[in-house]
Amino acid sequence: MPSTGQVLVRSACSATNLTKVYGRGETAVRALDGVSVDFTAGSFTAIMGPSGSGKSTLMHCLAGLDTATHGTVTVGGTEITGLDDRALTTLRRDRVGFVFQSFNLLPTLTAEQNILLPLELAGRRVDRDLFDALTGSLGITDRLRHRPSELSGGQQQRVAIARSLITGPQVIFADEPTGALDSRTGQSLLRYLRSSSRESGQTIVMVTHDPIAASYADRVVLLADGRLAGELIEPSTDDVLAVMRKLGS
Amino acid sequence: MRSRSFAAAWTQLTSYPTRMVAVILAIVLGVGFVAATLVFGATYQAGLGAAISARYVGADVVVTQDGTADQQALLDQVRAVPGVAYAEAQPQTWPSFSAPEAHGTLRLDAIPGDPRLRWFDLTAGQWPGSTDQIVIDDATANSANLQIGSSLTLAGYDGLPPTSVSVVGIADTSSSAFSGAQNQAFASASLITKLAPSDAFGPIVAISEPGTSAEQLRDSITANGPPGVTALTSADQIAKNLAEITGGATVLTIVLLGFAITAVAASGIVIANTFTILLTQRRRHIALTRCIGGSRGQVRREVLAEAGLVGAVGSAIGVVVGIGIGFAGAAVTGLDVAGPVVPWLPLVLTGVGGVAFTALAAYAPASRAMRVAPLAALQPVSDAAELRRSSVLRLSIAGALTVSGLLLLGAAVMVPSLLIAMAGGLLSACGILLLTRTFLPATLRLVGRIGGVFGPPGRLAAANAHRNPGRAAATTVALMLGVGLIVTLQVGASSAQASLDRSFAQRYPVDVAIDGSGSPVSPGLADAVAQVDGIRLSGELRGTAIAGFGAAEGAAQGMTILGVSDRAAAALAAMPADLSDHTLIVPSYLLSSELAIGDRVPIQTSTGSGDLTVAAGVLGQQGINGDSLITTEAALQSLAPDAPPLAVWAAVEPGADLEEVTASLNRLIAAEPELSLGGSAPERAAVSSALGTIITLATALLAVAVIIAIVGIGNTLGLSVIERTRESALLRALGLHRRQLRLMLAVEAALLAGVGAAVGVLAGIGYGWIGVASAFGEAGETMVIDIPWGQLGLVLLLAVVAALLASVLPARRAAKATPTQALAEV
Repeated sequence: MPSTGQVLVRSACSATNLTKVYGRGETAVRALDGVSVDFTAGSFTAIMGPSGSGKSTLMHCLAGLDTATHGTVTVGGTEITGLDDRALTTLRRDRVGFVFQSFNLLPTLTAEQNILLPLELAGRRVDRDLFDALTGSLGITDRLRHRPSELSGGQQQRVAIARSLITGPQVIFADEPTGALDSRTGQSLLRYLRSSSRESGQTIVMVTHDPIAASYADRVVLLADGRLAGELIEPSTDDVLAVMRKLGS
Repeated sequence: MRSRSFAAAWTQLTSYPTRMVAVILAIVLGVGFVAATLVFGATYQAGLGAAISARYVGADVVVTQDGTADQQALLDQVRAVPGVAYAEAQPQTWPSFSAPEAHGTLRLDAIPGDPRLRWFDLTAGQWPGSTDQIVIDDATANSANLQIGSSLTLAGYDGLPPTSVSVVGIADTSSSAFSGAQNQAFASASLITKLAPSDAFGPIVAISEPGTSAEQLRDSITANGPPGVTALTSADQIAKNLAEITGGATVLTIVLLGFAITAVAASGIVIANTFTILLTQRRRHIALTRCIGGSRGQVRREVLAEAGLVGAVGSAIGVVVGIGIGFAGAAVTGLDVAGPVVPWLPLVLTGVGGVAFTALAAYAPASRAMRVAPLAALQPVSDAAELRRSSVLRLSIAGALTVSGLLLLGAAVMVPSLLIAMAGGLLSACGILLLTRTFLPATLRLVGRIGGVFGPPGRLAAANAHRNPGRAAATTVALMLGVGLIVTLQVGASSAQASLDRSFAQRYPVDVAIDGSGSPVSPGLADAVAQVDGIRLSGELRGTAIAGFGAAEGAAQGMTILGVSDRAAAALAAMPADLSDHTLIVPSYLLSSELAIGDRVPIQTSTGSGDLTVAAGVLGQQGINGDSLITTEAALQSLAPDAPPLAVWAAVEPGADLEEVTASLNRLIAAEPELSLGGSAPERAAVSSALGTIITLATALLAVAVIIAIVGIGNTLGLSVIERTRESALLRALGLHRRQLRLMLAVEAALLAGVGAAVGVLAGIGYGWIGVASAFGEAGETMVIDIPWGQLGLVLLLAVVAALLASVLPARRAAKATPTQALAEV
């Protein structure tokens, strides 16, 4: 058990013996094979691995976007395995935030409406101070009345981050958040994610295949063939590259 | 190449038959409608032609005279024309008749003297052997309660003495268009000449000698016959009669075709939308074909071949279904006298047109799909913001159409002319439909706020509804068209009904008047009438014959004076202000000849006399009984204390079924042939039942267009669902419940349908109003506008409910996808 001994550290999200099988019989594919992993509150974790290692599947199962075949997932102390679609949807709405690689925003809504959408779906009151603080720190205050088609890729991702943070979620799941951005824009975004983890104690789980992106995280969890293949604490880009090369060979 | 296109198209069709169901349905409905109209029209025309020509069977030439020359002299002259083998006159007259159990008028035709010219046979009895014998047709036998051996009296024309005749035979006239429409009797020409020597005109029919054609005989009669006559071959005469009578039938066919065009237009919109959906679904397939070297032309040909195949299947089904419905329609309405007629050429053209129309409707989506570069098409579908720029050309054409149409509509009310109104309606409707794309987004944005009632999903739906103005417009236009026409009809019918009601109320002072024409009615009649369902109240009027009034002794012949009792007065729509115990209301014709308002008239009856002043008010334009003077019960009391009841007046309950009431009253008085039923109720019953039938039929036909439009709304949502798969997935990831996603699509459908139907309702009210104003104006009648709000609300509600139902399948599809499935498609 990875969290054993860390009595004072709360777990924000964890998976125990998680297995996910796609298909049946001859064509069955084990995307995840007995993965146990824990994400402590306030940590910024990168999940890495070669294509087909199961990193996206792991994130989908952790986030309640997909259901596991075996094993359990807890988010903020609640076991979510076995919840029905309604309950999972509510969980995602209230306790989880998402940032995707692309197509993060609804084209018909303005940036502000996109940010506030999860609160609106939940029927929750808008915390105006938090909203102003988020949009101010992300530097999108003057873009709030624009629609996604009028924003740059970086601005769109910032709006997506603001949207994921506005509900005060237990975990933010980011799936290749910098994949569609140029490196400078990507790194400023990663700095923001790291600071919100360090300064505000926001738990972040990020799936990436980019060693530079991974180096912003406190911890890197490595996956290969649906199993855990090691982890790095406070890694540098070179550390990550070295491990990845080993995994790839 | 060509065969490869068809092979590929066939594979697509057979692999995904369900995808084509909506297209085939739309084609079947559109083509079927046109085919049914054609078959119905042809069958109706043929039936009418056969029915009219019945009278000229066996004749080669029909000679009619333009003046009133002596018929016998004309006949002699025609007989003398070279080439005429035989000729005879066919005089006819319309005498009144009275029989033990019936009275009325009948049409009396001469029985052709030459058996070749006899167009009807006897089903019983024998041909008349003398001038006091007649033959009647079976319909008359039934309605007038006559049989062989019955005797009746025929009135002479213009004061000539009546003649007693007896029925000796029953004729079968079912081949004639007019059988059953009137009482029909046949007799020798000499009886007719005896009854109406100065009135019994009719055509002269001639048979040519062997070797002379009908045309030659016609020319010969024109050249050598008497002056002042028109000779036509019997075929031409039939065509001429048909043209005179079928003015109505042609209008019917034009109106039906108008509805059919509406349905076809709605089908075209749906076909184009569905192909857009199909091609979107097949984007990757197309992209792959293009990537491996397929040219645009090849792919487009494949799509058009597919459209052609679907069009052929749909058109074939549509034509067959249409033929069936056309026959059924003709048979149900009893218009198929000459049996079913299939107008093959127009039907084949309709079928071919259906195929071409489908391909044409599919062409624009196919070209649009081909414009995408192969690699771009391999990318996921993006819902790129559509250019909001309206084409200047489209706007100016639409504006010109709308303005000129509205000007014509204004002119139509001023002139007034229904024809101008129809032209203006057509132009402005085209303009409005073209403008839809411009005004719809703003309208949807405005109305979309209603969507907010349903919370976030409603607000999202409102935003979605107008994100693609072109598609939203295409979807709603079909609905606007159908709903607009239905509402135009409803407002028109309802206003026509209200106007007729008012004009009846002006013409007839009471709903029901039963009159014995001077002979007393039975004392219990008023109570019996009051018992009839739908009668609000009734009262009897006592009265007596007038022996004379003042100087106008002759005019008193056969006249009665009636006293209005309190109960009878209550049945009056409005009590004439001038009616008092000292005044008198006289038939309007007396005011133009014998009497003037304000005259004091000395009334004498067999039991008393008194002076009454002619009141200003004439009781209804039509009066109640042409030969009655009206005063109060009290005034009558002093003139004739023991006068018996001569008439009963009754008022009908509002909203009562007038046909039912009239039928019940007719049964009540059937046993007393001297009683006649008058008042506004019987006439209103006839008119409103005809109006109701027409409106129901037209609404049912237009409903087809609305159904097609609703299918279109379902299709558009289906397309949106495919295009927004990732968006739906994102929403689901962010916490939108399945139920909320379905609600979102339902609200979107309801908004589109609601706005489309509302525009249709508003436009329909305007068009209905203008139509009634111009039609009534043209006829010189004052009109009453009546807008049936309840019905219009129902139309709106039905459109929205139907659209909600249409959203169910796309919504299920959208909600079925899990968030990861959709996100994984990146």
